[in-house]
Amino acid sequence: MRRWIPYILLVLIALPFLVMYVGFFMQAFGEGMHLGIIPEKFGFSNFRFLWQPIAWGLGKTTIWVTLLNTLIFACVSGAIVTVVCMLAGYALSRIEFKGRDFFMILQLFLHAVPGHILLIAIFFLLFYLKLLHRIPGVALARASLEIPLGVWIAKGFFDSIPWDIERSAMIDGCTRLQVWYKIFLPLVKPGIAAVFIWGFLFAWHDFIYVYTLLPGTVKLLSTLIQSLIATEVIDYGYLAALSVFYMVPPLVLFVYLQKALLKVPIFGGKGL
Amino acid sequence: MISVTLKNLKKYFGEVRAVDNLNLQIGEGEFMALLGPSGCGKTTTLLTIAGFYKPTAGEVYFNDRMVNDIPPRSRNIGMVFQSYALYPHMNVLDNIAFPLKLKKQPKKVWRKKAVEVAKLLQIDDLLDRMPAQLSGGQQQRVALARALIKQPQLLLLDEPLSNLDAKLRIVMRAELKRLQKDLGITTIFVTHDQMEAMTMADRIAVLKSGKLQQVGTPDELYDEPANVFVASFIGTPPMNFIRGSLLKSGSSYVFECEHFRILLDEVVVQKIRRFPVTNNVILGIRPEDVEMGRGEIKGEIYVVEPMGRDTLVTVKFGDVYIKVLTSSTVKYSIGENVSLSFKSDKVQLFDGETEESLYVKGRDER
Amino acid sequence: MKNPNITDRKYLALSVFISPAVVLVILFYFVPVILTLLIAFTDMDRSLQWNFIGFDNFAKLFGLKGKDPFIGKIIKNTLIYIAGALPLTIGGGLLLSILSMKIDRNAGVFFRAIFFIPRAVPPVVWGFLWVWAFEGTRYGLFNAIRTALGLPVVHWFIKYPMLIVIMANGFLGISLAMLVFSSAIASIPRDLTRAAEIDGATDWQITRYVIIPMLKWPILTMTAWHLMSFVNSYVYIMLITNGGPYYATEVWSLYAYHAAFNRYRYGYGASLITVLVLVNIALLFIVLKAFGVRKMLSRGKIEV
Repeated sequence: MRRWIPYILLVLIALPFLVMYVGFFMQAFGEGMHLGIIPEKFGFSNFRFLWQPIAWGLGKTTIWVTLLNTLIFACVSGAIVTVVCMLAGYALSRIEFKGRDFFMILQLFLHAVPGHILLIAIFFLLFYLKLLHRIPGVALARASLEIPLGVWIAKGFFDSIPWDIERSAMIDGCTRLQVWYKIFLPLVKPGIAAVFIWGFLFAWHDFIYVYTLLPGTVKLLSTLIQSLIATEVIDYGYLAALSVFYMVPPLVLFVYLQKALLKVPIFGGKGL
Repeated sequence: MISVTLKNLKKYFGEVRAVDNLNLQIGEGEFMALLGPSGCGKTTTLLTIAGFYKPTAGEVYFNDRMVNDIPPRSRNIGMVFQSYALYPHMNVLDNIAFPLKLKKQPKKVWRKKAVEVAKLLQIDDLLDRMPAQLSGGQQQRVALARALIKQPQLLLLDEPLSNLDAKLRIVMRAELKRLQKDLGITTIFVTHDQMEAMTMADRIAVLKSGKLQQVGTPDELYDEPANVFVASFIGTPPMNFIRGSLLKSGSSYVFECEHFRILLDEVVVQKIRRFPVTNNVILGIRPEDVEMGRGEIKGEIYVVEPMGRDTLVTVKFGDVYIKVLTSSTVKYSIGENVSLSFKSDKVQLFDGETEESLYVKGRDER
Repeated sequence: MKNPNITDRKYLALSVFISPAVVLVILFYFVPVILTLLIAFTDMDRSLQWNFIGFDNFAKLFGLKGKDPFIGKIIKNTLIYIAGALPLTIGGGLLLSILSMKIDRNAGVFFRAIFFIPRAVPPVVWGFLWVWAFEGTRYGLFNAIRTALGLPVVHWFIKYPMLIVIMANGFLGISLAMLVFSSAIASIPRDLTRAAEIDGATDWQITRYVIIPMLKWPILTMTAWHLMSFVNSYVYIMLITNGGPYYATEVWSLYAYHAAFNRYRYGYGASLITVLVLVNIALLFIVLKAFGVRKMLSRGKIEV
């Protein structure tokens, strides 16, 4: 009997959420709601945004333009995070220099202070840099939010490579840059994938930067959904379907990159 | 081929003196072992010679050229690491040819050379394999091939045999030695295994806590250890040490300890360079230089360890234990009373305070 | 003995590797902090004119000159919000991790996955779920269920706006805290709890006297972490209630955002943010004092 107590408690706590999640999918795939929750039949009529233009307030767009915008934003942001963190992570893992510890702690601090509170200043910064209202500019600003932790993640991957491998490459004639490029990058492919997913996912999910720093006429999936929530009459089925659509690409990316993530090189013998 | 000279080499890591004022010369084509327990600074020395560490003070010379400012990749050295450090994402051929590819040599050239060196090391049938598919011994040969392909003027080996199983280690010991002699490359190798150093090296440098203890041929280290540390580190089973005092009796000298006294041989007395200020000395004698069955030292057998050809017998005198290596033909049992004697010309004497040898050495300038 | 060549080369390589990160960190963290400070001393509005007005914004903020009528309510909201969400996060995280680690392994993984969903879905979707679930008409999830059961609809967002906001953010916090605590519990040697069992401890006693004391460090880190996070959080509140109804859920950071981007009073918004930045620095200082820098460094690698 006693052994069931944890189950009972967990189910009780989880129940409202399970109802919420199940209801959410019913909304997305159901048609003709009874009492607002029980669908008459299942179908894809809520996914009509796939072939119809989407309207909110006075604005109008199509899902494909929005998707493309979101993809560009997330890919640019992910790419910036990856390149910057892979470079810095190597230096922090492998090169002794004054201020290294300071830099590492600083990154943790910066990660602890959520960057979005500095949005007012970033608005002005982008304005003066002539990057405001441009997707790549906002992606750069968004990417920089993920640099602090991304650097730590990248460093962790580089740390796992034995020192002897690097020494060996240097004996063989590599410069530092060649070691990084020819030896380390192939060995930390899972790390590259991880850092890219990291940067991509946060940008894909981002709402506040996109909402604040891009003009209201340029919609990404997050701001499109938000602007539909903010209208007077909300079509919950339509919004749920749109939300499902919004969540699919990261899943696909993750499954695809999972293969890369699982390919961890094997280091024989001991020695660091 | 080059000679390597270390001049007043120091390498500190904060407070820790990993290498402390090391002076060492390695001749052209010489096979030199850096020997010592873990943490003695031998690997640090090797990495400093390779150029990974910047000396805190002192210089490294290749021939007459000071190389402190030359990065590892420009020193033209080959190195085999303890973990072999094969690049896991390249196959054997690419691993071996990597140094030549970096030099932008055409594929024809690096391929030919890689196959040549692979043949030399008998791994030419493994060229398509990935490192993870190789046994430890094969990985080591690949690492060696990669080190040799660019025809280095200096070969560095960091504990090259420690990751192999005991049997393979003995095979590789002989092969490495033969290879080094055939190629004639100046070679420095680091090991904590005195047997490895003794069997392979032309000369051995013994280090302890970053300080050089003694340099010499295996025979010199064995027969004329400079101090108690070297004497105890070299040779298995290790040398016996007995504390006592050195007394003059008439025209000859006597070593006296709590349980026995022995008259020192004339040969031994001749070798004594100086007498310690106090009478306090340590007598050292190797287990194979103790003879059972006769003599005035009387004790009781404490334990008997048969080792096949020989038997190692530990004899107890009060609180002193002496290990004796005897032939297996005579059987001993625990508790038996025995008498034994030391081969008097093989006795070592050390200062009881400094633990330095009291003997005159050929290399006193150390 | 100096080796200028080698050192120069090293720093050349170093600069190639590290400068992109340094430039971005300076550009998007340090410059904005300075810019915020500067703007805080202006009355910048949508004309974007730099017009320095000294400490006027701060005087208004602290009620010394031209009092801001909302500031008292904002502070109260912020404190209630943190006081609700932080204990919910830590307590809920502890409860869920302990419960889910007690049961069958696969079942535990299943429940942890359920409670991790808030963090896995995008913020707008998480916000949408709450807006929909607590909608005040019969189209909202919970009101639909009430209607089906013959109960009258409840105007959740008018009656319990702060509670909804606290729950929505609290369960986000729980998802992270639960994972951290679970992995900490998993790393407690089994022999320890077995020994306690042999000694006659009940499940509750094992939890109270063996497991929770071993979780001291993760509980501290998670508390500090989420304190910082809730002090600054406004995105989810914005998505769910947007501070309403009538300032009922408007917290400090959201108020700053609204001042700047809804009312275009950038100067005033920046002064609010300046106060927030100072609070952050003070909190970081306290956390550092309590935890020690070294520990943070060595723990950093497994963070999240």
